[in-house]
Amino acid sequence: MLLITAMPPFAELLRRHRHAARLTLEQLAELSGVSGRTLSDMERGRSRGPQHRTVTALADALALEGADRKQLIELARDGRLRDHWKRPTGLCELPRNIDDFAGRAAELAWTQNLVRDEDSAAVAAVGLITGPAGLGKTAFAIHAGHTLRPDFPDGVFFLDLFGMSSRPLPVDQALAQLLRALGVPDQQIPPDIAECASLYRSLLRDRRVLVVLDNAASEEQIRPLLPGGGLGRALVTSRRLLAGLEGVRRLNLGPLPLLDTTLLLTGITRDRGASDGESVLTQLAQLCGGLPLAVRIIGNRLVSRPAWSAAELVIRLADDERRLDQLKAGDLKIANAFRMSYEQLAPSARKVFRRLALVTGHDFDAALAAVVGEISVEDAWDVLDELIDLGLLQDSGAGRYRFHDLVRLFARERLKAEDPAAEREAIGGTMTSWLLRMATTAGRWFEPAYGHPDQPDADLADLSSEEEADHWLRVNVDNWLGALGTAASDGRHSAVLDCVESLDWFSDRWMHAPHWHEVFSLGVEAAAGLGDPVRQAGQLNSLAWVHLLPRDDPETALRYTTEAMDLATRSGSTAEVASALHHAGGALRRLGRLDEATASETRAAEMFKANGDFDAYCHCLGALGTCLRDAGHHAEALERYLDLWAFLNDAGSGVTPSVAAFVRPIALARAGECLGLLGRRPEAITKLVEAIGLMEQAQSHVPQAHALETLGSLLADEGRKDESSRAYARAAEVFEAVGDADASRRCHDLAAAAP
Amino acid sequence: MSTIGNIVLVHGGFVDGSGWQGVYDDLAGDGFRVRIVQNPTLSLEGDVAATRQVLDTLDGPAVLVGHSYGGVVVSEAGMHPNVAALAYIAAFAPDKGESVGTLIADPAPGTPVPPILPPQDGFLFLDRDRFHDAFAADLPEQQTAFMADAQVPWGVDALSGAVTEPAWQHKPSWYLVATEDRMIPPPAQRAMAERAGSTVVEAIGSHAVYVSQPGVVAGLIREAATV
Repeated sequence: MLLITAMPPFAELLRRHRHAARLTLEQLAELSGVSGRTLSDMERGRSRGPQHRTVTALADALALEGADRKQLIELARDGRLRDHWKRPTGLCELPRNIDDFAGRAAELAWTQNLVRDEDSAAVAAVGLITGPAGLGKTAFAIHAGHTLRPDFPDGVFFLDLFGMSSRPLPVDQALAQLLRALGVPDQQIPPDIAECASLYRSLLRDRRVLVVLDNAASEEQIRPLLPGGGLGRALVTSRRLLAGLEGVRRLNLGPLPLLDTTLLLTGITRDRGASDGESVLTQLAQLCGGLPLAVRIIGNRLVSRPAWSAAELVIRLADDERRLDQLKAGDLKIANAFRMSYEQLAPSARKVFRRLALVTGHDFDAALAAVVGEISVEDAWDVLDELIDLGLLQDSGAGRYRFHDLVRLFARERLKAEDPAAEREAIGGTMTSWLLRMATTAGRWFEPAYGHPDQPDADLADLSSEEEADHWLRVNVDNWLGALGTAASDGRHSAVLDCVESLDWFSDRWMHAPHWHEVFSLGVEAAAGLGDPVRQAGQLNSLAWVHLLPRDDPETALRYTTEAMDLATRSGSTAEVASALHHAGGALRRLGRLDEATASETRAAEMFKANGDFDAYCHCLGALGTCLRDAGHHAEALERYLDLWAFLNDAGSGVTPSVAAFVRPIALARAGECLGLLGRRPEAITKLVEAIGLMEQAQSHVPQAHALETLGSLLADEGRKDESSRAYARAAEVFEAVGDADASRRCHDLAAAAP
Repeated sequence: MSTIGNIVLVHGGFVDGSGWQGVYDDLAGDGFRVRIVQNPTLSLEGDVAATRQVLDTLDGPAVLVGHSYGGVVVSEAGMHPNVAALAYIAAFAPDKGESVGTLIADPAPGTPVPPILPPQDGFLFLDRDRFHDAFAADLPEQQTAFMADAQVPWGVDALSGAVTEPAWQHKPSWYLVATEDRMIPPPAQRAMAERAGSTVVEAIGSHAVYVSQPGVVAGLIREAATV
C-alpha cells in the first residue's frame, strides 16, 4: 500500500488561497460558516469532493473572483467525479458507517447472537430485518455490518436489491455482483443462474463472510443469494416478512424509543451553532414518532438553516399533526418532516425536486437533473447540493444522487398535486428524448461508421472520449433502458431503433451486462413497427449474438438466426443473410454439428467476400478453421489458417488495419497448433513463437496465454524441458493477469512438473 | 394477492381487551374490521365460547389473534370456519391435551419465574410490586402502575383448560416472539412457534409488546391477513 499519495489539487489550491488571504483554519471557518473539522479534512485531501454549497461559501470567504473562483469550484467538482471513477462499481463495498448512529443496542445484540451461534450454522445463518419504511433498517444493517466486522475476517459485503423500486435487481445481476466481490473474474461467472448460485454457495460455505442484502423484494429474489450452511452469514432487510423463506430468523425493527430518538437528533444537530435546549429537542424527537428518517430530515433542516429555531418547528409540526390526524400515524409524521424542508426551498428548487420523481433509474446525475428541471447544469448542482443538505436526496457516490423511496413517493405526490398533467407529460417526453439521444451519441463512439460526433446536439452532456461514453452508458443504464421502454410503448420506433443500433459495438465491450436481450428485443419490435425487414434481421442477429456469447445458449441463438435468415432472404439483404449464417455457424459448432457449421461458415465467408465486407470475411475464415480443427481435419484447417494469414498480409486486402492486427497473430498461432497436431512440431514451434511475439505487441492476452500453453506442450514433446517449463510459467502468469485462476494453476503445475 | 378483511383480537390473563387499542387503531385505520373479544378468563371453555360468539357475527374470513393465554383460546377456537389464519403474540400455542398449566410445569433452569401469587379463592394475581419488570418493562411506570392495580383476576380453571384440537395443525399461523419477555421465556416461545410451523418474527420487547409496539404487532397481523 502507498503511504504517501500525491495531494489532490483541490486541497493544495484551497490551502494556497487560505495562506494568500493570511487566514488561519479557524478564521476561515468563521468567515465561511464551514466547520473547522471539515476544512481541515479538505486541506488534508480527506474530503476531495466537497459539496457545491460548501465550496461557494469558501470562495466567498476567500473573496475569490473570476478565474480563481471558477478553478476552485471546478476542481471540487472533479474531485467528486474522480471519487466515483476510482470506486470500482459492483464490488459490494459496505457503505460508510453513520457517525451519529444512536440506539438499537438490543437489536445489535440479537444480530450478534445470530451470527455467532455455532448451532445455527446449518439453518439460521440468515437474519432478516423487517419493518416499514423510515425505521432505519438500512442504517441499522450497515451499522451491524461494521460492528460485526471482526467476526468476518474474509469480508463484509453489501448489495442494494432495490426491492421497492419498479426494477428490483434481477437475480442473475445480483449473483454476478456478489461473485465479482468474492473475487471471481467475469469470464468465470457461469451464464446459468443455478450454476452461479451453486458457485456462490460453495464460496460462502468456506469463508467467514457476512453479506448484507439490503431491501429485498421477494422470496424469489433473495433465495438464491442466501448461504446454505457453513461459515458464511447473511443479514437481509426487507419491508416484507418474506414468509415463504425457510430457515431464517426475523427481527421486526420497532420505532426508536424516545430516549434514543433524542440522542440521534442531538447527534445530528451537534454542529449547529444555535442552542435549542434539551426539552425542545425532546419535544421535536417525540413528534418524529420514533422514525429515524424523520429525525434525520428534521435534524438536517436545523443544521443547514442555523437561523431557524427548533421551537418554531415544534409548533408547526404539532399543528400539522392535528390538522391531518385522520391519516396513518407513521406516514403522516414522515410526510410532515419532508414538508418542513420542502416548503423552505425556493420555488425553482421545489420544481426540480418534484420533477426528479420522473426519473426511472436508481440514481441520476446533475445533467439529467438539469434536463428535467429545465435549468443549466450549474444551477442543477446548486439545487442538488441544497437537496442533499436538507436530506431530501442522498449522495450515491460522488456525482450521482438518489432518493429514499419514501422521499420519492412524496416528490411524486407533490408533482401530481402541483403540476398540470400536460406539463408532466411534456417534461417526461423531454427526458425520454434526451436520454435516447445521449445513449445514441454515446453508443456511436464505438461504431466504426460514426465515432466522435462532429456536432452533437447542443443540449446533450459533453462526452469527450471513449472512456466517458463508456462510463455514461454504464452508470446510466437504468435511465436509458427506462427511456427505451417508454419510447417503445409510445410507438417511437425510429428513435428506439436508432438508439439500439448505435449500441451494437458497445455491447461487445460490455458483453456480460444482463440487459442486452431486452435491448435487442426492443430493437426487433421497433424494426417490425417500422416495417423494415432488413433492420429487423439485423436486430435478430444481435439477439442471436446475445444467446451465443454471453448466455452460451446455442439452441436459442439458432432460433433467432433462422428468423433473421428468413427475413433477410425475403428482403434480399445479403449482408444480413451472411451475418445470420456466421452466427448460425458459431451455434452449430458449439452444438457439435460440425459439418453443418462448416457449410454455414463457408457460405457466410463467400457472401461477405462478394459484398466487400473483408473484416467479416476474416472472422469467417478463422471460424471455418476452428470447425475443421474440431472435426479432426487438421490438414484442411491448416490450409484455411494459412489462407487467412496470407490474406491478412496482403496490403490490398481491404481489411481494417486494427482488425488485421488483432486477427493476424491468432491465425498464425492456430496454424502452429494444427502443424503440431499433424506431428510437424519444429515448424509448429516456429509459428507459435512468432505469433506469441505479435500477440505481446497487440496486447491480446487471452489468445497469448493459450498459445503459450500449446507451445509449452510442443516443447515438452520435443524434449526441450527447460524451454517448455518457461513457456508454461509464462502462460501461468498471463492467465493469472486475465483472472483465469484455474488455467493459471494448471500451467503452473505443468511448469513445475518438468524435471 | 387478496386480503382477509376481519381481525379478531383475544387478550390474555391479568388484563382486559383495552390493551389492544394501539393495534386496533393501526389496523382499523387501514380499513380492517377489527373486533376485540372481552374474554372473562375464568375458564378456557368460557373464553372459547366468547370468542366463537364474535366469530359467528363475521361476514367473511378472519385472522384470529391471541396474546399470552389468549393463544390457548385461539388454538381451541381457531377451528371455527371463519378463521383463515392464526397469529400468536408472545402467546402459548399448546398441542392436543396441553394447557398453560402443563406448559409452565417444568421451567428450564435459570429462566425467570413470573411473580404469580398463590391462588386466592381460585384466582391468580401478579405481584403488584414486580408487575412492571415482569410484564411490561418497556412501558412507562405510570402506565404499568395502573395496569398492576387494574388486574383482572385469572381463573385457575382457565390455567388448566386443555386444548382438544389445536387449530395451528390445520391453519397457517404467524408468531411474534418478544425477545425481552419475562413471563413466557423467549426460548419457549420459539420452540412453540417452531412446533406450530409458524412464520416467526422477533421483536425487541416485553411481554406487553402488543401495548408497547402496536405497529410491529399490527404489521405481523397485516402479513397474516395477506393470502
